[in-house]
Parts: sequence; C-alpha cells; structure tokens
Amino acid sequence: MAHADLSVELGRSLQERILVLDGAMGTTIRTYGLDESAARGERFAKNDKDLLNNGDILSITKPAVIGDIHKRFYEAGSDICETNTFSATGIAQSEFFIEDPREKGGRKDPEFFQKILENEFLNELAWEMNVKGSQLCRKMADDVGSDTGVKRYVAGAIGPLTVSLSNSPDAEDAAFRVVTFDQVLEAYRMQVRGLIAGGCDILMIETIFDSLNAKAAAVAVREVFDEDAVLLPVIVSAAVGLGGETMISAQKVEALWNAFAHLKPLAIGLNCSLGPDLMRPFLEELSEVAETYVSCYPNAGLPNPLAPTGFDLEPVHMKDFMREFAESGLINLAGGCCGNTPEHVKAIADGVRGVVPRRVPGS
Amino acid sequence: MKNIKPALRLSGTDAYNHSEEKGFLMIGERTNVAGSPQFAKLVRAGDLEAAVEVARQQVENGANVIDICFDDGLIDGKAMMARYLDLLQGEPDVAKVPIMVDSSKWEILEEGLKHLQGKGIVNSISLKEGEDVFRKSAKHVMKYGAAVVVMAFDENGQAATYEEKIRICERAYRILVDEVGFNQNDIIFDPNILTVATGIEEHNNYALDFINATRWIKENLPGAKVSGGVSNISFSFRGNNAVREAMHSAFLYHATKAGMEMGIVNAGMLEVYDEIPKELLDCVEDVLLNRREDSTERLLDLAESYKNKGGKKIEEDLAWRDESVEKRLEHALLRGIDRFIDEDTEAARLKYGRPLKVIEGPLMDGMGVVGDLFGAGKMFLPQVVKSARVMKKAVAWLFPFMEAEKEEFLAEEAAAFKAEQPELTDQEAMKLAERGRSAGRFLIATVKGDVHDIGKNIVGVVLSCNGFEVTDMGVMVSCDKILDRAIEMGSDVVGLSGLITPSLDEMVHVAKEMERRGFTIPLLIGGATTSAAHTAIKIAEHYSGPVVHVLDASRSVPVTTSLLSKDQRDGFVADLREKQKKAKEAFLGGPKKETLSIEEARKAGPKFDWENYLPPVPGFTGTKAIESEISELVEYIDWTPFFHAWELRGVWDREKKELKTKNEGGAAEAKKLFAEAGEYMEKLVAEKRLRARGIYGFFPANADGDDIIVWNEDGTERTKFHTLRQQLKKTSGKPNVALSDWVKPVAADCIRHAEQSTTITKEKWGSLPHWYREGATYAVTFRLEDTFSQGVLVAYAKEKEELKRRIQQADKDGEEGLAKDLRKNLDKLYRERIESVLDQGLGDSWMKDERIARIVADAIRFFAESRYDLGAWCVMPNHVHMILSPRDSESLSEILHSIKRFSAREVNKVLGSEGEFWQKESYDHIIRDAEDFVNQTRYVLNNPESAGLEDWEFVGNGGLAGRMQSAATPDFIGGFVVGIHGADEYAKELDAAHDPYGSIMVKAIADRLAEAFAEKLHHQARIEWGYETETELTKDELIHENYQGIRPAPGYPAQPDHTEKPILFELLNASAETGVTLTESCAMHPGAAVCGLYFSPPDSHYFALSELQKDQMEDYARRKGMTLAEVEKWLGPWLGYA
Repeated sequence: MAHADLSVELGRSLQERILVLDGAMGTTIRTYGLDESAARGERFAKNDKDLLNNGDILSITKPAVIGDIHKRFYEAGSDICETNTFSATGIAQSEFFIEDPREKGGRKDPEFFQKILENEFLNELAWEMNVKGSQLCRKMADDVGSDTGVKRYVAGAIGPLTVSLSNSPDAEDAAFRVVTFDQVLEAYRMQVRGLIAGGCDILMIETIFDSLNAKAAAVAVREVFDEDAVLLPVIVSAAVGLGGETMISAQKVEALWNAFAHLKPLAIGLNCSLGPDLMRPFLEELSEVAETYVSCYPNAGLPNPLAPTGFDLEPVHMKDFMREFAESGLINLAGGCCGNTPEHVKAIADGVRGVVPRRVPGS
Repeated sequence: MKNIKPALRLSGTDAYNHSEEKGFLMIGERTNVAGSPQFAKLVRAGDLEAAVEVARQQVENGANVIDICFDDGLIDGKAMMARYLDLLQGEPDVAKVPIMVDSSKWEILEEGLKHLQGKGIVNSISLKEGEDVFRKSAKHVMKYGAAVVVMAFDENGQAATYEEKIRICERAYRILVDEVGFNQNDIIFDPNILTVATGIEEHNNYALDFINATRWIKENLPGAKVSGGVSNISFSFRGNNAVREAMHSAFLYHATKAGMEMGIVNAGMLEVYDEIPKELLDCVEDVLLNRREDSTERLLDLAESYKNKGGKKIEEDLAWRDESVEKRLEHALLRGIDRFIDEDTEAARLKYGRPLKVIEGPLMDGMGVVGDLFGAGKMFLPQVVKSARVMKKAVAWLFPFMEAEKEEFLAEEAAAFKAEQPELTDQEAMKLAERGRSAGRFLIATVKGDVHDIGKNIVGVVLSCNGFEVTDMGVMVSCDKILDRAIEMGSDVVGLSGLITPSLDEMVHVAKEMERRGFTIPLLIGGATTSAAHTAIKIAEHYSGPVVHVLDASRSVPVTTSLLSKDQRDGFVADLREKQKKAKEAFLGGPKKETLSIEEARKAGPKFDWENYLPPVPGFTGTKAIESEISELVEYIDWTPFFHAWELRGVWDREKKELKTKNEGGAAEAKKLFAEAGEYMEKLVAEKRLRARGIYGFFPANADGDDIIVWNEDGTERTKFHTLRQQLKKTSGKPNVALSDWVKPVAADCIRHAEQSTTITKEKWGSLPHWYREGATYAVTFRLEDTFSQGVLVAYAKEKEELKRRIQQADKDGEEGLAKDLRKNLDKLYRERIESVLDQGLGDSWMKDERIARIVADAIRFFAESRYDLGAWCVMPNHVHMILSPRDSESLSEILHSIKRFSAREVNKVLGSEGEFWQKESYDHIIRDAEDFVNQTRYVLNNPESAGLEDWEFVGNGGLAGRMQSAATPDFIGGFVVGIHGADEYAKELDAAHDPYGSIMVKAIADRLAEAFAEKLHHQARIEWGYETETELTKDELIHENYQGIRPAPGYPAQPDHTEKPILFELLNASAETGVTLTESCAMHPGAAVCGLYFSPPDSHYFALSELQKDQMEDYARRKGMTLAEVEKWLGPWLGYA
C-alpha cells in the first residue's frame, strides 16, 4: 500500500493555523460506563486477568464505542485524532495475558520477553489492535471530514511501553535491563507496520517517559519506511516531570530535541504528565530550540479524584491556557491528554482558533 | 524570531551544542582501553565500579564528551559496551554528557548506539572498505541519530599526505552530504595525526600535512569539524615524556590555529606551551613544521638530555617545595597539582592573616598566569580546568575561616541589638542582625541576552545602603527565573536592567509574564537604552502594576521608597499613570516629523566627487590581532563617562584633573573617586588581572547603494554590511546620510555618479562660454593682459566650441573613433596652438620678475587652503596654469576672480602701477578622466622646462595630484573588536568577597579600558591607513576625537542594528582571536568590549538615525534576508511608525 507523504500538505496547514489534536481516550472511555464483561466481550470472556483497563482491546470488543469517541473528537474540532493503540504491542499486552513470573519468584528479563515476542497469540492480537485501531479512526476521519468539508487526519499512537531500556529494576545491578533494545525495536516494528496497514496518516511516538524506548521506536519507524518504501510524517512527544526531564530517563527537552532532530519530525512536543501551567516553561524552552513545529497536549491539570473526569481543569480552563500558549507563539498543534473530554477539545479548538501559529525558527 | 545557529548538536540527558566560538571540544579519553592502560586493567579485572568512576572524573575534569572504547583482545567489546553504557545511564553526573562510542568494529559501534538515549558520536567509519560499506554505515548512524567521525582512509589505505587527506575527506563529505543526506554539522573528520621524526624522510611533513589539511577542510567543507588523536604525533619518542609533552603541546598550538576543534588529548601528557624550554621548543617546532632538513637529528640529540627529566613526573621532583608559599601556590595552580594545596593554603592564610587576602593575593595571581597562558593559546583547556580545581580546593580550605569571620561580624551586630533591647533572646537578636533594617525586598536582574550590569550593580548597592534587602540575580537571567525568585523571596519590587536594544523586548516580555502570572508589585526599568517614553509606551501597557522608569541609581531610592510607602504610594502611582498617559498620547497623537521616502532620502544623500578621490590605502589588508598592556591604555582613557557611570555629571579636565561641574560636592567626590580609580588601576596593572585583547583589519570594500560590499582578494564578494539612511526631512540643507556614503561606490556607480548626479551648466562669462560641472576638476589657464589680441582668442574659442559640439554629436552617435580623433584635435588646439603662442612670450612678461611670480604663486597657494583642492600649477612669465577642483559651493569663476584681483593688487603695489594686469578671459577645461588628468598634470609641470626656463621655482603640485588614478580602484573599510577580559571574573570575586564597591569599580574601569583600547587601536589604524602620522595629535585631541575618520559601532545611533555585529565578528574571526563573544541578543561578552567599523574619509562623521520609515525597513529586511518583523524587532526604538 502506497502512502503519499503528507508532510507538505500538513506543513501548509500548520503555517496557516494551529491544528487541533484530540483529548484523552481513557478518560472518555470511562464515561461510557463499560464493565469488565463488556470489555472482554465473547472473545476474551475466559481470560485469566481483568481486561477493563486494557483500553486498546476495546477496538476489538467494543469498536462502536471507540469509533464514537473518535467521531466526537473530530466533531469537537480535532484535525488529528490518535488511534486507540497506546499499548498495542506484544510487550505491553503481555501484562494482561501472560502470568507475571514475579508472582512465582521469577523475574522479567530479556529471556522472558523473548518468549513474549515469539508468542503467536500476542503477536496476532497486537497486529489486529493496530490495524483495527487505525481503521476505526480512519473511518471517522473520513466521515467527519466529508461531512464538514475539513480534512481530518489519523495519527497512529505509539506509546511508551511498560518496560524501560534506561532503568534497572534491580537494586543490585545497575546495568540490568528487563528487555533489550532489539526486542523493543521488534515490538515497535510490528506496531508501526500494523498502524500503516490500517491506514493512518501520521505516526506519533508519544508520552515518552524513556528516550531510549522512543529511540527504538524511531529506529523502527525508519526501518519500516526504508523496507516498505513508505514515508509518513512523524510526531515526537515527551512526558516531562516537574524539572522538565523525561520522567524515567531524565532527559531535558533540548537534549531530547537534539536526539530526535535527525528524524526530521513534523512536530516535537510535550504531553501528559503535567498540567499546562507546570508544563509551560519547558514548552517555552522546546519552542525556542526546535527547528520544527511544536505540539502540546497536556493533562487537564493534576489528578483529582473528586472531579468528574478525574482531573482538575474544566474545558474553560484548558481553553484559556491553550489560548495563552498560542498567543505567546509557543505552539503549532494543541490538544489534551488525560482528563480531556470532547468538551475540553471543543474549548481548546475555540481557544486557539484564529491565533497566528508559532513560527518555526529558520523558516 | 531568530534563526538557529549551525552547531554540532549533541546530547546526553543535557544538550551540548558545539558552535565555533566554544573553542576546543574536549573529549575525555581516559575511558578508552587503548588510551588508558589503567582503565583497561580495571575493565579486564571486572571492576566496573572503578571504571565508572573514571568516567565521572572525566566529566568533572571538564570533558564535553567522553570517548568509550573496549577494543581489546581480552574484553568482549560488544557486551562490555552495552553493560558499561547501561551503568553510566544510572550516573546522572555522567549521563548528562554526550558519549562517543569508539570502536573499529561496526557491531560494537551499533551496540553502543542502542544504549544511547541522547545524540552521541560514532568513532569511526571510513572508506576503507569501499563506498558501499561506507554508505551503509553512514545510513545506520543516521538512523540512530548520531554524529560521526570519519577517518581519512580509503580502499588504498590511510591518507598520509596533504593531497590524500583532502581528497579522501572531500570524497567522504560529498557522499555523506549529497547522497546519504547526512547533516553536515554532524561530520567530524579525523585526517590522521601520524608520527613524525621517525627518521623516514616521507614522514617529515606529516604534522604540517595534518595542519594544512585541517585548514583546507575548514575552508572547503562547510560545517565539518576536525579531530584527531594527538599522542600519535610523538610516538617515536616514547619513553621520553619531556619531549613528547612538548611535542603535543606545540602541535596542538598550531593545529587549533588551523581550525582543529576537538581531539583526543591526555591532559597529563601536555606541557604548558610557554614552559617548554626555548631550545626544546625550537627543535620540536622545527620537526613539526618541517623547517630544517636535519630537524629530526637535532631533536634526537637534544632529546637525550631530557631523557631522565621524566616530563610530567614533577610530583616526584619536589624542589619547588622549597620555594616561598606564593611560589608554591603558583606552581600548584599552573601544574594542576593538588597534593599539597591544603597545607600551602593554610600556610598562606597564617601568613596573610585573612583568608580573603590569600584568595585575592597569591591564588588569584597564580590563576592570572594560567589565564594569560590559556588566552594566548599556550595552555589548553584540560590544564586550565585542572588549575581551577586546585583553586577551588584552596578556596574550600579557606571557606570555613571566611564563614567564621562572617559569624563573628554578625555576632557583634546581634550583641549590639541585645545591648539596646535586653529582652531579646539570642536567636531573636541574631535574626534582627541578619534581617537588618529592611526597608523592603528588592529583586534586581539584567535580563536574558544581556550582560551589562554596572548600572544595575550600582542600583543594588545604593538600595542596600538605604536599607533595602537587595537580591541581585546577575546578568542574562531568564524571565521565568526572575519571576520564580520574586515569588519565592516575596519580593516587593522587581527591577530590570539592560543596555542593548533587544533587552527592551525582553523587558516587555517580563511585563507580559508578570501580568499573566498575576503579579501586582511594581516593576522598575533601567539601563542605557531604556527611557521614560519607551517605558510608558511599550512596557507599561502590558502590566497593570506600576511600571516605573528609573533614570539612575540615585532616583531608585525615592522611587522605591514612594512605591513601598503606604502614604505616598497611591499618589505616586496616580501621578505616574497620568504622566505615562500623556507620554503615550504625545507619541500617538503628536505632530509627526516630516520624513522622506527612502528613495528621496537617497537622492538627498551627500554628493562626493569619488572620481577625483583617491582613497588612502592601508598598510595591510586582512586582520591583525593585538594584545595591549593595560598600562599602555591608561593614557587613552576618557574619564568623563567613568564619572557618569558613578552618576557624577560633568566633563573631566585631563590637565587639571578635575570634574568641571556646577556641583561642588560632585567635583570633590570626583576627585576622590579618581584617586581611588587610580589605585585600582595600579592594582589592576600590577596584578595583571586584566587582559586587553583586540583585533583590527582592513578590507577592500565599496558601497553598493546603502550596503557596503567587502571584497575577497580575487574580487568576489566576501561579505556585506548593511547601513541605514536618515529619513527625517532636513531644513538645514544637510544631506541625509548613511554610513555607506563614506565608502567609495562600486565602479559602475562611481561613473554613474559623475555622469548623472551632477549637472553641467553653461555660463556666459566674458565673451566665452564656460562649461561647469559640480564637483569637477578643471585645468585653467589665464594670462597677462596683453599676451594676444581678443580677436585671436575669440577665433580660437569658436573653433574649440565647434570641436566640442562635434565631439558631443559623435558621442551621441556612438562614433567612438571619431570622438577620439576630435578630442585629440581639441587638445591640440589647446595645447599646441594656444600654448605655443603663449610660450613665445609675447607682450610683457611680468612674471619673469621673481617678485611678481612669487606674488602670483602665493595667491594660488593661499586660496588653495580654503576654496579649492589644488593640483599641478605653474606661473609662467606671461601666463598661469593651474589644475584645481573647487570645494563645495565654490564657483570656478569666483575663485579665478579672487586670485586675479588679489595678485593684481599686490603686483600693482610692487610695480607702482595701476590698471589691468590680467586678461579678463580664462581658459578652463573639465578634466574628463584619469588619463586626461595625468596628461594635463604632466604638461603643466613640464611647462617651465619646455619653455626654456631653468631652475624655475614657481611650479608645484598640490594635494589633488594623484587622486584621480582610477575610478575602479577599491576603497577600504576597517573593522575592530576589543575586549577587556578578566574584569567580570574579578568583579564576581569581589562580589563574592562582599566588596560591591570594588566590583563596580573594576567593571567601570574595564569599560573605560575597552573604550581606551578602541581609541588606541583606531589611532594605530589611522596611522596604518596612512592618513595620519604618529605624533600629529595630542592625547587630548585623540580623546576628543579631533581626527579624520570614525569608528561607529553596530547598535549605536549611526547604525542601531545589533545584528550587524555577527557579520563584523565573522569577518575578523573576532571571537576566536579576541575571546569576545556575542550572546543571542548580540551583546558582547565580556561586557567591557567595543567593536565597530572604520571609515576614513575626511567628511565622515557620527550621526544619529531616527524616525526610520517602513519603506526603508522593507528594503532593509530584503537586503538582510530577514523578515520585516525581525528587522522591526531589532530596530524598534528607531522606528518612526507604529
């Protein structure tokens, strides 16, 4: 399947206006009140572990819900929605389907993950999640796009995994890693292929906690592009902590830009982790140095168990913050991460509408 | 928005961007098993903890990047690379720097890349196995996102000669850049440092080959860097460390000058360049630079005598331990030995009494020596970092003693409180002592991008003297940091300072941020470019709290007091807002000054007769780096601004050494201050704390419209300066100038200038028509009353007119040949026929009488001083020839009239005669071109001799001669950068030592020294330029700039655009040569620095721009390749439109 590189087309739009991303998949799923059995469906009814929190599986068991969420985000004003594939790799899915060796005194290590990578069931599941996830979003993008006359795009979401290449869980051995770079690379390669097969427009390496994991994803993307002769725009987005560094591997934002500039990403940005207020200084720093477009989709503030969405900020707050970011010339793409519902996205879209987008340095 | 500078951008957890001005990139090489047997031993023994410690030490020692290599037969390189890098990731201090993965095996390199979250460097790949393998490796490196070292190898092996090196590097570069798409800034060449002095003749030029190849690469392969392993050079002297260290040091000295930017260097194997014994250095440099055929033998012979000196094994040679404590400290600092530093520091403390004295005394002296040697490229960063560590250790030893001193001081204060208020607890009294009598908390900072802080420091001191608690955040402070700190400390006022234009924008930014973050406290604005108007119009509107412009430090106290006083605050703020409202209305609604369009302004530019101007030619072109003794600058200092810095207004009288001011107290204070400044100056000179480094240069250049093109030797364009033109309509009739007006226009323009911009007018005067052209040069002949009849004259004149008419017709018809022939005829008529009649000496030949001739000659010379430029002239017995160019607004006819009238009167007095002496008529001829000029000049000068007058003294040549040589010769422009290094550091130390007065004093003096250096250099440049002699002007005249030529600086009124600075810096290679660098906002660092362009013409003068119009800004943006918005941002305060 041939894919035209959309970078040029998107670049044109990005010069004209701030494009709107979507909000939180997980948060929005929770508003549908699904229960465990709904999540499992018939197909996974007998699984040993609970699946309610395995959001990605809903692309298979509850496609109508996922499709509806995409549709609502697009209708709220998203130009780009992310596929429901945050954890659609064999490595991440193993958490829901494979017995944890630690329960029996074992440990997760490269040997364990080698078996995961060779597990046919997980491979097929991951492939299906990516293809279906991408297709679901594609359909809604095309539907809403033709209904409204505004073209919508699908970003294949590539999440951070539940394992780290930078960190040792073994206090005794700082050089120990549960998984190898090549294993992570292999898992990501399959995800990238599946997403592309499902028809996505963009690949989004996002919520980067660990830059080395993200590097493996970047290598996977490059390899698939080369081997399959395709080229899609790539967005790179990191989740930084209070000091402005990736939460696990502690890389600062300019260092991150230096490490990913070779990918020539369509955009680089920050998402998740912090609310917009705390994210701002690091966004500003990134915006200063990045010779490409900058994206930003923060959480709706900090977690607040008492709030209906589980997060502090309401649509009107997000609107104000994102509008201020836009007016300060910090961003080219705006959306929301955890805690942001379609109402939030609508507010964000209202907030950034008509504001001149950030200019890429040197352009 | 700014553009992003090209740089080698690397990262670990932190970013490291290596751009050229960063100097030498240090690669730590102790984590390379091939380079460090000790590290190899640790790794082989599996002691990875200790091996990680080695990496940490590298980073602590200042390595920018660490090289990691496990190529060793006894080590599983791939597994060890993975494990070691994983371990380093767990060490935040190490993980922050970029990693260079080093191996000869691709699989190890790739394994390394799989363990780097940041952007590292692959060391290395090459064309050794052909282009396909090379291309594939390069693509892999790119996939992981790393920079790459390319060894100069190809299918035939290692490049040894210059030709091979550059051929292979160019080939590799083309493949990487053109085919693979590699970022050119990520390419690092290692053109092989090969061993010299091997006894094999072909090896003799190896060092020079490397150095020359380096230079070639830097010039021809844009973006590429050059690196190399230095120790290889001296391999033939292994076992003789003294010689090896000398070789490494000398090699680095020359290679870095050629552009080598990084390298693998063992700091422990480097001698200090200046410490190399002269005899050894000569021999080593003979070898390295291949200066003599027998250089290897000579070095071998000499090496024998150094063999047992053991090089760096000085720790074992403890003779220096017997020296004085000062000498011991200096030795330790210079050599980076910390073994005895505690005991030596303690000894010094006991000797000096106070810990601070030890720091300011022997320790700083020692570091001064280190700094000097480093600045001169004679010590290298690794060595300097070692010195700094020793220094730190010494200070650390002293720290508790300094703390104790402070405690003691506080305790005294607290005791005083207790004495007054016995009810206080000890704790409370201490708190009171600490808190002092705070009148309010004041946060002050120089904004991001700006380094200037003298004024700010003075404000800080003045406020603290008045009881405010001042927190000074220093220079280049980002908005976030300022505001975070303001919240954290509960600041009552924020004060911002800045000197350069972009700082104004940053202040606006801070105001906006304060508004956004909900601040309400007052914001004070100060600094040289700030103004009450700008504050009112551009800053205040963004912040709802009070925004007050503070003219100087003395105003800061009443302003802050009012703002913080409950009673006065409201009134003060209301008053302020009213004033600012008025200022704003005045700005927006006030009568607009009348301006010209840029086209009109150009037409109203000055008109120079470039055709007749021969630019002075400087003694050299290119650049000269200059270092000046501080003591030599003192006499060039203009002290007036120094007193202004201290807010003492007036003019300094150099002779009387007093400040001319109406304020008597001010004058007395100035006297005191001057005496103290003198003491500081003496100290600065004696301690050699300051270094004055500068560079200046001359370049062939021509103006191209309002731009100035600087030429390469070969006539191609090297770079371009851009200038701005005054657009205010002038009623005075003065021209609308731009700096480019003082550079001769490019040849085409020069001719156009002569042909189009001047008008030729025909005047009827006497019975002959005369052709006049503004700014032209004429050959004129006039004669005694009775030389020949008017009838003959008229006949000749008619013939001449007819010829001229036909010449013009021929020119119009494009009949070049005919026009030329006719011109010859015209010359013939003039020269041969008329002249022959004249030279026959018909009529009275009064001027055979020397008295008479002298009167006439004097008259010619007399008027030349004020009314025209005189070329060749002669007084003949019955006629006079002169070549002249009337000055502005002088007409030829009036000039001739004056000469004739003046001389006739004098002659009549001498002769006792009356009546006409001169014939009314004169002949004048406009000099067409250089050839014509030369011919006419030759004729005039030879006339006496050809007419048979021997030893005739009434002939001469004025200054005009020779100026017309060629319109196509280029003009020249000069440029300079000077900086005073060491003052910021010194001031910082003084600050740290709680001596703000000294700190400000040192900075203010350094500023003056920078200006003085600029003045001195300009003096030297003018002499070099050949239009001023060494002793022509007194120092006072120099200081008052009573000389020809100007040195305007970008960022100042004649060209307020700071972004011209990078062009100047690049042209002069100023950052590398002088250590003066530019911040993102184009401020110079150190702050005590001056730069500018040199213009030579007599008419050049300083001027100010204002009311720049949008049409010029659009044109300027186009010329500079910037957007209108960028240009408007940089020139904000000078714009004449909203």
